Amino acid sequence: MSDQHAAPPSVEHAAHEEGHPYVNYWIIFAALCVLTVVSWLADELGHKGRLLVVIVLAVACCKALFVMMYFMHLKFEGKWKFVLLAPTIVLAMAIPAALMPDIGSHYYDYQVPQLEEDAHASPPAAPADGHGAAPKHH
Amino acid sequence: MSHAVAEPAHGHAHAPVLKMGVPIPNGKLGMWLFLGTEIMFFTAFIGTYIVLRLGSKGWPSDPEITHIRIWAGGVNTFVLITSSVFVVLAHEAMHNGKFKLATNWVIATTAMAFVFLGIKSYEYYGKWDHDILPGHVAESPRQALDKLARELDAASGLLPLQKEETRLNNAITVSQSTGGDNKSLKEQRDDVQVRIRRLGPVVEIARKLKDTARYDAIPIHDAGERLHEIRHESFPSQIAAREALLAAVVKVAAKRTASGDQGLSREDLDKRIALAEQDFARLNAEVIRHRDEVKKLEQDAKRHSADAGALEEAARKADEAVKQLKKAADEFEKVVETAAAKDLTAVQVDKTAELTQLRSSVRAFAGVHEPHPIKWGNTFASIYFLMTGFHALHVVIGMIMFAVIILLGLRNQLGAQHSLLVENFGLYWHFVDLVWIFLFPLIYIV
Repeated sequence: MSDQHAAPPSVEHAAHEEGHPYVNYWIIFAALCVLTVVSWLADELGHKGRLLVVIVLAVACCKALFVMMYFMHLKFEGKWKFVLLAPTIVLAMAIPAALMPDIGSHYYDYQVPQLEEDAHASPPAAPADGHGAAPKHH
Repeated sequence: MSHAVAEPAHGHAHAPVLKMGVPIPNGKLGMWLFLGTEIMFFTAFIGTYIVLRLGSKGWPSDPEITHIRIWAGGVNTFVLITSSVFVVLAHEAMHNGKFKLATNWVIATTAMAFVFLGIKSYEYYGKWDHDILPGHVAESPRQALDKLARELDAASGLLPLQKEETRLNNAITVSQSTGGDNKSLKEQRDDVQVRIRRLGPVVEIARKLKDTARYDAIPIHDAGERLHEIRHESFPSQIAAREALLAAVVKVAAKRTASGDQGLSREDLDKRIALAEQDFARLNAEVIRHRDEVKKLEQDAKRHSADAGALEEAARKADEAVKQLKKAADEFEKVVETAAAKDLTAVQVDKTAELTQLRSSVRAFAGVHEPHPIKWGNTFASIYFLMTGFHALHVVIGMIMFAVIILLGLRNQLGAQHSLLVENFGLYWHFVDLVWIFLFPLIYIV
């Protein structure tokens, strides 16, 4: 009984010293390639706007997970990974969060040359933007 | 650190090493902490980019406008993924004690890094070429025309010479009032004036477009076409006109007998030359236009059914223009036959200098950018170069890390003691890949 108990930890220990269980990296590689093709296809097939954003960012998150879990071996690491990495994500949000109210989601119109000319220009003169006309503020 | 945990009472040879609370080697813990700071670094950039983009209506998302090459970003994604596999295989080879194999995988990884940077520099060159650089982009039609006027001014090179002329004139006036010697100043001023005069044809070519652009008196699309005309019609025809003129003058001068100087005064000669120059330029422009038409029709014919009649007509017109040109040259030769030899020599010197100036200005005008407003283009360029630039810097640093491993491997010094080193460098490299995985969709696709 005690021998059986002793066996698993020592195996685990050995596995840890060796690094991790066997991973076929080429399968991960193939998955990453397929995912890259998916995001390229999503763009080629003419999806525009929010759907494209959702697709390509979801694909990117999948790829990132594959790289982190298998290439960086986080799947096989202890719980320390959460303690170490979670705070960085929170702290990284500081600048975007601070900029968001004024730069990202302002309720007022900007008075900048880029938008002023649009407001004055006749409709067909809108040159090269894919996001519709600028707000008029006169 | 190890002395803190050594337990002399037990006298164990394998005293446990302090693990700082986590069951991984200190080196690896250090690398993960560093990667934690890196996560904050890049997430802040990416987050800021998203916020800026959300707040900028009409952000340029068309790759034709921003000269983003999706295939280049896609290939680079593939390249980095491949390199990530290579480096993880190197790590595995280290664990299995196959140090030669590990070295080879690291060499392969580094080769991929070179490919990545090669494609990156191709992309950067494209941005440079189209002047999509922070602070360089015109964001509205008015700004684009203003930029065009400034670039045309710079290409003609007249302003610095005019400034120099003013400075020399002032210097001459001052030295006259103080009774000093101003002979060399006058010589310099004369020299500058000669250079200004020789710039005449170049300035004339650009004048109309420059003025209309400066005062916002031309639609942006027309301005682009005029610029194209300047490059493909005005310069070639002005150059060809002077070449024809010079050829005629040289021919006449060669036939001239010593006693042949009579008749045409210098003043009349200059008038005739000015007229002939205009004539030659106009006819050459016609030749160019008709030949372009022929070329275009030929290309059309390759793609779909040929309009044989139109092609024949264009070719006939081109031939006709060439004939007219020959006729005009013959007439000009007859007219200047009676000019004085010294006048002809002076004309030859003058026109050669103008020709040299025109030819060198062709290069300067090739650098003038098409008027091409990109709304929010400067913020876009800043973000593009900031994010991809810092990423590329990380690639370069990774390559330096790999160089260390490769050197150890090639000297047969790579051993089990370097396993952690390879793992850490590998972790760093995977992170570089990870950043690109997000940059690719955010910059190239969305």
